Amino acid sequence: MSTSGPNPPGKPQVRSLNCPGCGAALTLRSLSQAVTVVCDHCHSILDAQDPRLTILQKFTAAVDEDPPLIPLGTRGKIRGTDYEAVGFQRRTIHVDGIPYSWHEYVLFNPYKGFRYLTEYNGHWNDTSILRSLPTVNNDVSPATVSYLGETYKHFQTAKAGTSFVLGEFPWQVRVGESSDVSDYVSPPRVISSERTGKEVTWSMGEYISGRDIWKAFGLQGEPPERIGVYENQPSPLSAETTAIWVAFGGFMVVLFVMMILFWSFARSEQVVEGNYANRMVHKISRRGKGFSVLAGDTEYQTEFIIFAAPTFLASYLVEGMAPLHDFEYSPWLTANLTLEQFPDSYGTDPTWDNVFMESPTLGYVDATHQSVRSHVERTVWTFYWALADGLPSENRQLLLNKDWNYWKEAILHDLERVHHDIRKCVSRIDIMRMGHAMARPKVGAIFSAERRNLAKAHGRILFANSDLSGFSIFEEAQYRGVNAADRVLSQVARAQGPTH
Amino acid sequence: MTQPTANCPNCGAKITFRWSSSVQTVCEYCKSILVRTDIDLKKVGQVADLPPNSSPVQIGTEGVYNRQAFVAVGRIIYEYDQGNWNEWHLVMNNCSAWLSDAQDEYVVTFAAQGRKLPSECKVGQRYTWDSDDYTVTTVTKAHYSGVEGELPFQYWDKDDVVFVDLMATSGKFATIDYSDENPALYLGKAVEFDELNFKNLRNFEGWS
Repeated sequence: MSTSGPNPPGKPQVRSLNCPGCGAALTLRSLSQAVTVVCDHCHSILDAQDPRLTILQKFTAAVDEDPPLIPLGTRGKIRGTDYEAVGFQRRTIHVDGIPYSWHEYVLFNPYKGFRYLTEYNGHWNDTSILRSLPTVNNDVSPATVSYLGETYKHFQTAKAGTSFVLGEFPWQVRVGESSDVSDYVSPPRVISSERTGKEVTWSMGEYISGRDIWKAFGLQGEPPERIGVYENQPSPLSAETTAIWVAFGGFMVVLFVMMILFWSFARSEQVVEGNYANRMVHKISRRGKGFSVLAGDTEYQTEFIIFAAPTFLASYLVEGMAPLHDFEYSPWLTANLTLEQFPDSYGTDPTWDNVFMESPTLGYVDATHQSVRSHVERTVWTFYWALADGLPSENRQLLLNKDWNYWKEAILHDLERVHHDIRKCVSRIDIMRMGHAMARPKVGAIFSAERRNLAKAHGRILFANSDLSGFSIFEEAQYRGVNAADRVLSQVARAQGPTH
Repeated sequence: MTQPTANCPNCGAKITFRWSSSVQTVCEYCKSILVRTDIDLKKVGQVADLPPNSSPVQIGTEGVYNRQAFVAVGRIIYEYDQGNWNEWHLVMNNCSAWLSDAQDEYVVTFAAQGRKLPSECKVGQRYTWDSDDYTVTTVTKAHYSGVEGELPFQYWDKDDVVFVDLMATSGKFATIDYSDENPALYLGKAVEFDELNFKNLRNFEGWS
C-alpha cells in the first residue's frame, strides 16, 4: 500500500508559552497530551488544552516549597523506554489526625504515554494504569483483588488529597481535591484503586529501589534513605520458597514421562504376550483372584495391577474404591512461547532455568538449551506456573474459566518484570492447563493413615505414584515404581514356592 | 491491490483510495470532505484545522494485530473535557477495525452488530456479550472535532455524542457509540504499544 502523500513530517512539538497569570515562560513537555499545566512561578493551574491557557486555579505555596527529587525535564530509561519527568504532585492522607504525604512524578513518552513514580520515605514504586479490571472479593477478610492470576490483599483505604502540584498532568488536577484510594498488596506489586465520584481508576505499582531510579535518571548524589518497611516492599525470605518450587518445575517433564512408563507397566496382562502401551484405561474391576482392565473395546485380565497414575484417579477407575481425602493437588499452567528473537534482560542474561524473584510463577526453561548450534536466534521457552496460593479447587476453576487471552496477558505481564520487550519477541503462545499437576504436601500428610496404607498395600493392586511421597518429583516417582515392582515380584515368588 | 482514483471536485487534486470500500475521504490538499457516489465524488463539507493532537499514529501507519497486518487510513478526532482522542480507521485484510488512541493508551475494536444494547448506561452497570462480562467504567460526553482520511461511512458535521466504555476482567474492551439513533457496539481489547509492531509512525523531534 502506498503511504505517500503530503503528510507533514514530524515537527518539533515542544510548545513554548507564557503564563497568562504572571507572564513567565512555560514549556509543554508532554506535547498536546497535557490537560493541565502548572506555572511554577505564580502557581496558577492552567488549562493546557486551551490555546489561551485559561487559569483554572491558583494556589499558594512557598518558594521552592517542595522541590522534586527528579527535576522536571529529566529523562531516564524505565524498562527499556525513555521517559521524561513532566509533572509532580504531593498527596496527603490523614490517619488518626496525623498527615502522611507522598510524592508522585508524572513521566511521559510520546509513543507509550504516561507512567508514574511514587515516593514515600525513600520507598519508590513504578506505577501504570491497568488496562483490564481486577476482580474484587469483599467476602474475605482482608478483602482481596485478583489480577492476572495473582491475589492482592487489602492493605489500607484512605482519602488522599492533592496538596502541591508542579508541571503537567494528563487530567484536570486541582490542589485541595481528594479521592478515595485503596491499596491491595502482593509484594513487590501493589494494586490501587482511586475513586473520584463514580469513576474508579485502577493502577499497578511495582517496588523499585531508589538506587535504580538514580541510575536510570542519572541523578546526582544518593537517593533518600529508606525509612521503615513499605507495604509492598519485597521480603528477602520469599525468594527461597520460590527456589524450592522451581526444583519441582525442572523435574516435571521427566516425571510425566515416568508416569507414562509406569502406567503401561500397570497394564501388564498375561492373556496375550506383548506390550500394550498407550491405551486409555477406563475401568478396573476384580475378577476372581485378579482384575479385569477395560481399555476401549478391549478387556485385559491380569493378576496384579500397579497403579502409577495420580492416586486420586483410582476412585474413578477402580470399582469399589472410595475417594481419597488426604491427597491435595495443585493445578498448573504451562506454556510454550515461541520467540523470534531473544528479548532484553534486566540484571543478567537468561540461562537454562530462570526464576524471577518475587514472581508468583516458576519462571521458564529454555527448550533449546541443549541445541549444539552456535548461534540460536529463535527459541522456545517453557513457562511454568503452579497455582499454589489458595484452594486448589478454586484455582482449578480459575484455570478453566479464564481464556487464552487472559493467560497470555498474565504470562507476558510476568515476563515483563525482567524482559521489558518480550511482547516484541513472542510470535506464538501455546498454553496447557493441568488440573491436578502436582501433589502438594499439606499438614498431616506424613502421618496420614490413608497415605501410609496406600503406600504399603500388600494386595494385588499396588500404588506407585510419586504423590504417595507427598511430593511429585522424579526421585520419588522412581522409588515408588521400583518399590511396587519389588512387592509384586515377592508375592509371585511366594506363590511359586521356594526355588532350588 | 488496485487503488481507485478520482479527482477532488473542489480543487482537482488526485484522490486515491487506499481501501476500495471507503465511503468518505478528505482531500489532503484542500481539506474538502468527499463522499463517494456511484459515479463520482461529492463535496459535503470542509474540515477545519484539526485540533493539536500528538498521536504517534498517522495516515499510513502500519502494524499487526492478532497476526493480521493493518494500515491506518483515516481517523475521527473527538474532544471531551479532558482533551481529545483519536479513533483511527484501520483496514486489515479487507475488513475494518478501529484503533483508539487516548493519551497513548491503545484499544483495538471491531463493529459488533446484532447484540442487544441498553438505551442508556451508568457507571458500574454490567452487561454480557459473547460470554464476556463487561462493567461500565466511563460515560463520556464528547463532540466531534475533525476527520482525516478514509472512513467506512459518512461522518462529518456531528455534534455532541455520548460514548460508553466498558471493561472486562479478561482485558476485553467494549464501547457503545450513541451518536446515531441506533447505538453501535464495538468489541475488542486494550493493547500495549509494543504488541502492535508499528511501522511508519510519526516522528517526534528529540525522541526515538
